[in-house]
Amino acid sequence: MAIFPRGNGLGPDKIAADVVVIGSGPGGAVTASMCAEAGKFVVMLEEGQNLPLESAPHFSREEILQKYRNAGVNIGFGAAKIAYVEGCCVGGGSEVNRGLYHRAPEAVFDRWRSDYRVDALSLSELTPHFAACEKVAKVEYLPGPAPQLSTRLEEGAHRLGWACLEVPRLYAYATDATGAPGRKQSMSETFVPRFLEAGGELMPDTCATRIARSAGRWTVHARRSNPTDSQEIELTAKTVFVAGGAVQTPLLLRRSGIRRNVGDSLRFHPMLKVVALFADEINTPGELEPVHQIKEFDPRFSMGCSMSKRPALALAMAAHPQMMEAVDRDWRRMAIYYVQSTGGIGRVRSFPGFRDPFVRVELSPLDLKELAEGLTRLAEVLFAAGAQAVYPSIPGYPVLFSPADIPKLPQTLPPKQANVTTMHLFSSCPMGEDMHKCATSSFGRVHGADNLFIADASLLCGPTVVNPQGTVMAVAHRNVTRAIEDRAI
Amino acid sequence: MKDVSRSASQFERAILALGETIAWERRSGDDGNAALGKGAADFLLSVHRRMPDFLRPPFHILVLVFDVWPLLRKGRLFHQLPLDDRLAELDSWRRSRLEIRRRFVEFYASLGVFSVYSDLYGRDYQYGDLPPGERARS
Repeated sequence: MAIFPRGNGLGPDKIAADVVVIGSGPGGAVTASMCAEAGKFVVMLEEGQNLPLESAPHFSREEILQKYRNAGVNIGFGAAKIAYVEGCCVGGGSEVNRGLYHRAPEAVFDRWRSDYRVDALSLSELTPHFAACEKVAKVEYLPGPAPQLSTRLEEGAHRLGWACLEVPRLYAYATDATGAPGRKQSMSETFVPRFLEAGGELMPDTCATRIARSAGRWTVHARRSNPTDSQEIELTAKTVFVAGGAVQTPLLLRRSGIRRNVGDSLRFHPMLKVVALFADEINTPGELEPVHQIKEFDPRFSMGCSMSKRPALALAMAAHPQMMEAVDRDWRRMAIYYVQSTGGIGRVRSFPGFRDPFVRVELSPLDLKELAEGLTRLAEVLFAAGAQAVYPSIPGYPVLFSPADIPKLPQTLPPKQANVTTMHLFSSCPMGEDMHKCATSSFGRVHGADNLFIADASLLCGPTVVNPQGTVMAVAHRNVTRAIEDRAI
Repeated sequence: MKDVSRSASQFERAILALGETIAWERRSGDDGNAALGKGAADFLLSVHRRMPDFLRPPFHILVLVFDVWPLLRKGRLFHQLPLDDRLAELDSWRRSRLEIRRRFVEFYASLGVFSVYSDLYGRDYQYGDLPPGERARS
């Protein structure tokens, strides 16, 4: 097991491997560990740093600077702009998300199979792959009662007769008497150590800039850096898996001249947030993460509760600067809730001379209307849960003080005002046999390229409706299993 | 993080003034206000250095425009204004009819406030409860 470089300095500038995996997020880490366990010499590149899980608290200022790409400032441009975030560290998005875990519903796979002609992709065919990943990265329900800000949502849904469920997390909760919170099952805690134990080589602080094929092998051109220096390096391998996520993967492929159905069909879960004020204290520092989600309106939109520490509350309340005093005074009675839908489409493009991709997004009038309806429903359930006020995190939107105020919300989301964010991006290089839509085969092999695979959320053919990490891992596990069986590595 | 108070460029002085003003706006009675302002400015600079490369030059220019804006009416750059005038300037951008001015302040104010609250309430992230009923400023 090794983490490059082994001593001071930047290490060798030419490396030959059996397999190179670009990206160490959920797709990349699962793929790399499977290849290493199959006895291959595998190098896994990661643009970000190799940091322990506890290097910064979740959603803190320090975490944003250490583990988020571009300090969390990424914008999808369009009539309605969308702010999106990506992890950029060993473990990728699994290090910065909350680890809420679902197996995507059967209807999602049915649609992908029929619309994109994906072979062998039913929930039953994926079940062993979900199970294999869940064995390594533990998925657990809260051992005790959920935090109040979470159960409030459940109570509101119950009063309205809406479907609501407690979602398990990729988390190993402590079972000892101390009540300590346990450990999140991010990639740096699960598949990355497994990869290293199997003899894999991890290369953090290394950004792949281009891939090229010659004489039957792939060459990955990359730039390694440390705080004082940087170095261009070349890695050669029989097989390359690109797993940089739904924005970085199409960026790298397009820069490398691979453009067919690459970066043309980005999808996401657009999200709106509100702050709700309750009569009693529901927000206790040190509580575990909220875990309830309302599924009554799936697949159109779903609702949940966000991490609601004071800095996050202040950020969510930025649309109402005059109400910031209320955060100071009433933060224990406040929590952040969200509604997220499945609408919207985007493109990823690279421009010469710029390192970062240009992402264009489009929310149709129907998408905007759906989000507006979702916001209305969210206010409804929060008042049913006992909220005294609901502050939409949208500049210019009214504060709601009772259900009678809900009709004041616009019936559609004004594109210029919309304060839409997303953490879930996918589908920029969909898999399947439909050559008009798909960038890769049903098992992630890039069409027209030998031994070049994609292994991340880019492959998913559309929104997962639920939190996508479980599906990304299971699909990566399925595809690399097939690649090993086919002797493609 | 880099110390922006010495040998700073106009851009850095403008960011420092912006950070201080946002911190003052949030915690005007706080004894540790200067440190909060500097912390917010450092955070704004760190975010600026990390933002996508095609956004950095336009944001750099916007900050300089923001700094120069009061020159005609008040004869001074934003970072040279006394605090009350800076607060008024921030407010006028917030209420501007030009969307770009409103968005500029929203962007920097939200980041600045996030930083101020991170400094004030970083312990919220620790495992374990605060005493029940404790208010934000204790």
